[in-house]
Amino acid sequence: MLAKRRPSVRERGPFGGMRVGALLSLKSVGKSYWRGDTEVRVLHDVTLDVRAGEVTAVWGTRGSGKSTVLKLAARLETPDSGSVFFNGVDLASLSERQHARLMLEWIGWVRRAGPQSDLRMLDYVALPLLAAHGRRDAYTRAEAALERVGLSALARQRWGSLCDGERALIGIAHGIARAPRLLLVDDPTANLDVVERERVTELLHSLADEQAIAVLMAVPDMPAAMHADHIFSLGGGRLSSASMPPPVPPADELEHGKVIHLRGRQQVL
Amino acid sequence: MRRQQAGAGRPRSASRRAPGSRADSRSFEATPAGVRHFEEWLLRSSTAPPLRDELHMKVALCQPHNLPRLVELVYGQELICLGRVQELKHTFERMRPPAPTRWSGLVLVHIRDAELSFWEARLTWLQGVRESLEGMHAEYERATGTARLPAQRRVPAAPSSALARRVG
Repeated sequence: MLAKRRPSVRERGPFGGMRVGALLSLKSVGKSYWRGDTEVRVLHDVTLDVRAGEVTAVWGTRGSGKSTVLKLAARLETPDSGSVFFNGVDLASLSERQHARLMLEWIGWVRRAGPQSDLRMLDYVALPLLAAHGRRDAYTRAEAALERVGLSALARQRWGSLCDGERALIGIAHGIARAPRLLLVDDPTANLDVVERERVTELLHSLADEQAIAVLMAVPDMPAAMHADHIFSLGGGRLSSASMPPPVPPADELEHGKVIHLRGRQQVL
Repeated sequence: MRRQQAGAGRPRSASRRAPGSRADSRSFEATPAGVRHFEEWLLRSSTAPPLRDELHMKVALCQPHNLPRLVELVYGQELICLGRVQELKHTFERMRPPAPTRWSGLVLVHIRDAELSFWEARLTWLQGVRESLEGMHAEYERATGTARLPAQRRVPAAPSSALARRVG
């Protein structure tokens, strides 16, 4: 007779077990910043679903709000309007403690910046695991993460001795070491040449595929988005994808005096 | 003769001779039918890229009251560009190119990137145009007191371009 399996720490948390459907959902999210007396609206009615096992890329120019989308996904920012759901749970409903747990157990963040101190790369990747897993387990997981990104040989190197491509891969190892369900990646291919860029984006795609991680990445150049399953464009506050229907009716459907809807308003042409 | 032209919706002569101009120089003004025809053309969807000159002309000639429509036209072009990016991605995936560490794979990636750069530049331009048109429209509505929705998007970018001055 099989003993009933005890739910894991992750399953006992506020999010329960994995649900079918989008792991992360932004629903009609709006966000503005103030620059002096001027309101800068960076996100307008943004709706986005990110699913497990898929890479979703948000492309946009500098200042278009890509990083804001990532921060909203991790509740490092709160939306002015709309809601953000993680595995069906509204992030606005989480306590501070639950949010901290979300960040520790569910979300990995791949950053461009490295360690502030002169750590070995193995220590840098193991550091966030020490409290939760103990020293031995933390280092085992860190070694596995470095091996997964193909940088086991650099475990004892320091950040300063690495090239940009290696730093990008170390950032990914740091992000996946805690086995997150959602990986947020901000501009993973900055300063990389073509070969390094392809290596990094292919790695993210294979991680999503093999480990059923949902990857949401912000990229400032289109080639970096080419290995993503879904590509969105963010500009002028709108998030768009190729699958969206065009807002403009074809010319032959346009009749004089016909009423059309323009973003919620009726206009008589 | 002049009456016949006006009836046919053609431009009509506004004056016999412009002051100080040559004897055969004559200025014309559009008839109401011509203006209506122009407005209909302005409001029609623009042809998909690469026939972009039509959209350029519409951007240049738009009137303040046409701006919401033009914003949607520009946005439609953005979606078309994204569709082309998507097609390119699928084409490249179907080709199953070798890894970019090999010469043949690297060359293919460079060629793909060249095509992508074109669409990326186009998208960036379209987004910038849309953002400034929305800003102009918001300013126009504020100036004329015709703002209809309190929650309407406000874009801070002040329309300082020559185009903005023309429509303002």
